[in-house]
Order: sequence, then structure tokens, then C-alpha cells
Amino acid sequence: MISRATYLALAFVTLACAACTRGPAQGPKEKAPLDAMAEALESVPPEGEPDAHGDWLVRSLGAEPPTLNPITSSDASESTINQFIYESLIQRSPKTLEFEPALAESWDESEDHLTYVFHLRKDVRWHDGKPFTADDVIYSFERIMDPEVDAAPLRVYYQDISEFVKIDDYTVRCTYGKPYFMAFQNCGGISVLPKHVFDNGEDFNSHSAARHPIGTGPMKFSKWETGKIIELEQNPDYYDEKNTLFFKKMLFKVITDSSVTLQAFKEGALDTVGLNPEQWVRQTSSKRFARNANKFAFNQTAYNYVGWNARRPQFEDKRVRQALTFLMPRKEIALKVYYNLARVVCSPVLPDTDYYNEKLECRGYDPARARALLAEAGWSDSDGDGWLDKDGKPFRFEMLVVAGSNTYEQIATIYKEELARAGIDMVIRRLDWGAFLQPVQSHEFDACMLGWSLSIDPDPYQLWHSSGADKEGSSNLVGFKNAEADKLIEDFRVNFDKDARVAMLKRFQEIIYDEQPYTFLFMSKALMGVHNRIVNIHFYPTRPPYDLREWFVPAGRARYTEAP
Amino acid sequence: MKQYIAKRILLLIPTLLGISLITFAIINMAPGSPANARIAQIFAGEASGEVTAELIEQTKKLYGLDKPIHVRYWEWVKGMATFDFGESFKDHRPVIDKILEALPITMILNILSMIALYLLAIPWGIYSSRIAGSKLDRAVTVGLFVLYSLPTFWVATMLILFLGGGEFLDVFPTYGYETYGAESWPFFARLWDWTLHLFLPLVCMSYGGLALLSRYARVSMLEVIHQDYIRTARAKGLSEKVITLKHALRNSLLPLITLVASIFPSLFGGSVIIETIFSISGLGKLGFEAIRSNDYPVVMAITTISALLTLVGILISDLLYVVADPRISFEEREA
Repeated sequence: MISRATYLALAFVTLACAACTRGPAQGPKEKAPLDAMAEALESVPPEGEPDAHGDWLVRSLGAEPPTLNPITSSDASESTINQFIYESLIQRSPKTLEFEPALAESWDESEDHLTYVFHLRKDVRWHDGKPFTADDVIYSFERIMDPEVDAAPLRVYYQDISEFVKIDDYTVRCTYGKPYFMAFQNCGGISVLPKHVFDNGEDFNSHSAARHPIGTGPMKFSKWETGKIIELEQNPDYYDEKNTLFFKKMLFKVITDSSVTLQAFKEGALDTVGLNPEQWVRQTSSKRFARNANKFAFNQTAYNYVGWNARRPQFEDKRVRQALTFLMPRKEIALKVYYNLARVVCSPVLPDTDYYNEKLECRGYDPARARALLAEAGWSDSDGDGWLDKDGKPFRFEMLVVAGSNTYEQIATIYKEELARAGIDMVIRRLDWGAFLQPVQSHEFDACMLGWSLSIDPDPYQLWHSSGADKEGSSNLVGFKNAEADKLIEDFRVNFDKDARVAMLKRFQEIIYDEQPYTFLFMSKALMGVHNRIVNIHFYPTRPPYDLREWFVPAGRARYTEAP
Repeated sequence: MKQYIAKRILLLIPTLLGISLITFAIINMAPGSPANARIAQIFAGEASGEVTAELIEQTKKLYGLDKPIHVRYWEWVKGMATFDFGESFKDHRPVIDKILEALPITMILNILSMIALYLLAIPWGIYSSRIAGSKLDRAVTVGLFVLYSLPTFWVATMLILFLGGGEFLDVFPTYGYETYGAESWPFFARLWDWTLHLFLPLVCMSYGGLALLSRYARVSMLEVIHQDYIRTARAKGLSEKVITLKHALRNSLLPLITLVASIFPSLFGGSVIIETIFSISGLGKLGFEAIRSNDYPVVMAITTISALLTLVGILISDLLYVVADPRISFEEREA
């Protein structure tokens, strides 16, 4: 017989191994994250001249894009690839954040800001050699608006365009029904598809060109092996030299598992890798890693939050919502859950942009003030059972969390304990994303944890205007209503003077700060490793936050000079 | 016998219909409609509630979700009859194309791991029945049960970490089933490349079944060995080898044959995890992603196909029974 001791030893080894990879649920020692932060680079300066061969860039995709048709697909992997293949009339410079010519060489705006005329370049050719004309632009717009086309998420942005017409072969005019400050970027931002390729009688949604895109951009599509790789190569006939990339080829390998992706990067099979905080702190701190790669931490243009459904009696009172924010130990969570690789936020505007209100000071963790505010709002433990109550009802609510999101589940667990200490009973309810959407869209929930992405030009209408507060399916999930905010939001959308808009949005943020419809949580840092032969890497507040047109490999250090 | 087989095959049709009806009902009743999810992908924008509702309606119509559920099921059945599984909501490609693309690698993985499993587990089971109670037997049994209890995703991650390059040993590639550019390699180089790529996934798919299957083999062998005819054979002076391999083996294999039918679908389930971790674009990964993104046509097609495979598996194992054991005859049952 095998002795008990052997059994125990075996069991112990198994457990110990499990513990060493799953990582600490209770957070790392305090020193590690701070040291890890110090390793992060902000940028890598240019170094010498780019290699004549240009080298390749090999990256990974966590999920394969469904298609490479920018109109029917709205998936992150799709845009990662298509940003090099398809172009728009205008593009935003990551450096200046201003709009620059792309397929349109110039444009005119009418006095009333309703009409935009774009003058197109005459020297642009599609990757198959056919010339690009105004017909392509109009065709692309028509497809987006076509109810038979599976592009509903995109159509949302173009609802207010009353007409998009061709004036001549190289001029198009876009007219808005009512003034809107983002009209220009919406009209000019359309992804232009080749009419001669798509308009051949095949069904648009299942068109074969969705898997063999033909664009005008600096890179040409060359190969897609389902589930394995997507390959692009440099377009030798590209019209704009300063937009050309240094890389001769770009390879995207489909690798679904994040630890496998990291492993592939360590092996040298990838040139970039996205990291999670745990990988950042524990699995990429070896000397060997540092010899081969640089690590970058940069701001992500998204934040997460807890939304308080103001339609529920517990959350009607803004003092309660403020108290709930005071009870959220954001600093502690940033350390334990994000290893300090996150920034606490308290406004729905992208920090470090003109619109952001710097004067707002995020509420810290302060249970005493929370208790005082709750008492003011009428919540006290009148029956002595340890839970706060009001009008005979205990303070109890359900927090919706997307199942499978470790981060949200950890935050919810920490928060639950804090609330219990303050006499509030929070029940965590985990729902799968598909199931999660239902109660959130129909506004049948108490509180939920979600995230929004932020754009450089914010438009608070969709999230915060009271017109959405009572409508099912609207994004004003929490039922936020505020007369002053409504007025500001409406004026903001039709004002074309940036300074005035900045002032309005700053005031708007003060209202949000006071009302606390959300308890804002974090903008987590995006973490990335890049092979250190690549230089001239800089980060910007755009999406994506880096500009691959700048990246290059110095002379003599190219790795893929021909097919491996 | 022929009549029996024909009957069984005919029975497959109502069974399949029943399974598909239940699946259809479940995925359609589960919360979260694909049309809503499609809109929710992009919450941002300037849509008011009304616009969103209108767009959701448009998308529903596009996906055929505006029709009542029984109409949709009937349409699905009609399509099925001609092997038309419809088109995927995600990329509008015909579902059958997506499945045919994904099926071969999953079949290869499953068949290979089945073979590996039987080749390892049965000999060990037989051997261990002969050394039953010895130290080696006990040690291996414990080892196998430890393996059995380890979660696949964890083992896969460990194997990748320690054998897949980077920090420790660099023996096996860790994703996909062939190297980029391997299409142009000579046959044997390509075969070797495949072997290296498939080794870790195969290990992960098979190790769990080892304990189970070798236990089965061991137990049924032990049972047979203690029967009278074996004792007789022994008394006649036959060698132990002949007794085990010739007389006992055939009878002890019977229960293992039924297992083929039940192990096959479970391997199929296992390939969901393995294919996702090792980024192998097979049926398991396709199904997993389809469920996550509410891609009803793909989910339906995969469930139907795997149900069909399971049913056929059961049929085959029943037929194998006849081959292995002459005492079983279906004609008698019919009489």
C-alpha cells in the first residue's frame, strides 16, 4: 500500500504548482509593481538609418476577424489589419490630433457647417490597378445605409447625413440635416471600398472580397489562411511616400491564448505582444526578456465604472451615490488587481486632452464620509441587525458582472467586503456577456460593472442626455437626468467654436462629478512588449496609441530579409 | 442483421430531429439575441433609443430572426435535408464551408488521440491485471489518477511553459498545426513539422482518458481471468502468455468496445479547450466561438453533426459487439 504520506506529498505538489501559476488572488507584495513600473519605457528614439531591406513585422491576433470588410465587420482585429489596406477621405494625425488629407486632398466647409465638399486625389489607384474615383465613395456610403447590409452598428454614425452625392469624378459633397460638430469627421471618416470589385452582382454581405480585400492603402493584402495567418505586403505603387511603412511585410498570426502568445514572443516568433498586469510583473522580468525586448506601458483610451441605476429607490439620491464612491477603495484595487498599472478616473472624458477638467479631484476612500452621507440620506441601522435600512427596507442590491472577467470579479469581491462593513449588502451576479446585455439594455438591474471607450472628440449625448433615460435599449443605462446637463449637451453638439465647447464640457464634468451616476473606476494601462530591434516607437492619445508608420529597424539589424 | 442495421439507421432520423429541436429551442430561448449583441458591440456613437431599436429590427430581419420560432425551425429542417446549414451570422459565409474547413484537423486530432489512448491504456491494463497488487501497479495507478484529476487547461499551460520555448526547454511549437510557410516543404519535413505541432495537443487530449481506460481494461481482464475456462486452460498447461492474449483478451475487450462510442463525443468536447489553447482552428474552437457570439446557424450545425457522430458511434459499437462476441445476435432479438 502506498502510505498516506505519499498521497499527501503528491497532492501537495499539485497544489503548489497550481498556486505558482494561477498567481496570487490576494495581490502581490507591495514592492513588485512599483519596481515593474520603473521598467516601462515611454518611447524608443530613432537610431541610425532604417535598414534597406525594410524587415518584416510579425504580430499576433487574439481572435481572427470574421471578415476583412470594414463595413460589415466592426471587430478590433479587423481594424488592426484594415487600417493599412483601406483608407478614408481624411485621417487624424496622431501627433497633432488634427485632420490631414488622405484620399481627399482638400475640402470646403459651408458657412452653416452643414455642407462639406471633398476634393479627391486624382493619382490614387486601387491595389488591382483600377483608378479610385468619387463613385467608390458614394458606393461605400450607400452600402453603409442599405438596410440589407449587415452594418447596423456603423449606420448609427451616419443617420443624420441627409445626402452624400457625387459632383464630378473627383468631387463629393456630404450634407448634414442639422448642425453637428462631428459632421466633418463622420463624412470624411467613411471607409472607402472599390465599387468595381464589390458591385458585381454578388451579395454584399458574403462577398468574396471580404476575404481578399483590395484597398488603396500603404499595405496590400496578400494571404489569409483561416485560423493561422493573415499577411500583408508593402504596396509599391502607394501614392504618398510619407505615409509608407518601413516594413516590407506584415504578418498576423492567430494565437488565441494569451500565455501562448507570450511564449511565442519569448521564442522570437512574434515582434509585439500585449501583456496583462500579471504577465508584466511576473513573467517578463527576467534578464533574458530584457535582452530581447522593450516593455511599454501606455494609456488605454477606455475606462470602466459601476453604473447605479437611478430608477431604483436605493440609488435615487445623489448623496447615496457619492457615499458609494467613497466606499470604493480605488487605490487599493489599483494595487491589488492592476498591480498599479491603472489610473483612477472620475470623469467620462479622456484625460490629457483639452476637454478634460483638471480641477476635479477623484474622491478617495473615506468610509466616515460615506457613513455621514448615507445617514443624511436617511439610511441607518434602525433595527440593530447590522445592515442599514430606510423605511423598513434593508440596503441590499445586486451587482451585475460579466462572467469570466477576472478583473471585474475581483473588484466586485473587494467592494462587497467594503460595503458589508458599512452595512450594505451587495450580491454579486455573474452573467455571460450575451445574457448580461439583456437586463442592462432593458434597464432592469440595480448596479452593473461595464466599460466605455473614450474618443478624442467626446460627445456626451448618447450616454448622458435625458432623452435616453426612459428608452429601452438606449445607452443611458443608469437613467441619468439633469436639466443643466441636457442644455450643455445639446449646445455642445452644435457649437463649432472649440473654446466654447471646452468650457461647456468642463462644466458638464462638474455636474457628473457631483451627481455620481457612475462610480468611475480605472483607465487601465495597456502593456506591450516589442522586440528591441525595432526603434522610433512613440505613444499618442489616439487609437491605436502608436503609429506603425514611424517604427523601423536600424541598418544591419533586419531579421527577415527574405521568406523564412 | 441487414434489417437490423437499416432499422437503426432509420431510427437516427427522429432522434436527430429531437436533438436538433431541443437545441434550437434552447439557443433561441437563452437570453441575448444576436441582433442586440451586434448593436451592443458599438455602444458608442450618437444613437438614441429609437434609432437603436430600428437598427436592431433591421439586423433581425437580415438574420431571419423576425420570423416566429417554429417557422425558423421548419426552414432550418428543410435546409438540413439538402445539407444547407444556412450562413453564419458572423461573416455570412455558408456554415457548411466553415465546418468543412475546421473538421479535418479536429478529426485527425481525435482519431490520433483515440489510437494513442487505446495503444497505451489497453496493454497497460492487461499487464497491470497480471501484476495486480504489486508496488508498480499501485504506483502507476496513483500516477494515472493524479493525471486524471488535473484540469486539461492547466496541464496544457504547463506543457507549453516548460516544453514550448522561451524560458525553459524549446522542444515543441505551441500554436497552430504547422509552421508558417511549411506548404512548400518536402513531404517528410512537413510530416515532422506536423508531428511536433500535434504532440502536445495530443498528450493533453489523451492523458485524462488513460486512467479510466486502463482501469476498465484491468478490471475486465481480472474478471475474465478468474473464470472457469481460464482455470481450465491453465490446468491444461497452456502458457500464461497464450492464456492472456488468446483466451482472456477477446472477452475482456467487450466492455471497451462500448466505451469507444462514449469516449468519442467526450474527446470532441475536450477539443474545445485544446484547440482554443493551442490556436488550432478546428471544430471545437469554431463551436466555442460560435456559442460566445450567438452565431445560431453554426451552433446548430455543430450540435447536429456531433449528435450524428455520437449516434453513429453508438451504432458502430453495437455492431462491433456482434463481431467480438458470437453469443450476441440481433436476429434473435427480433424474433
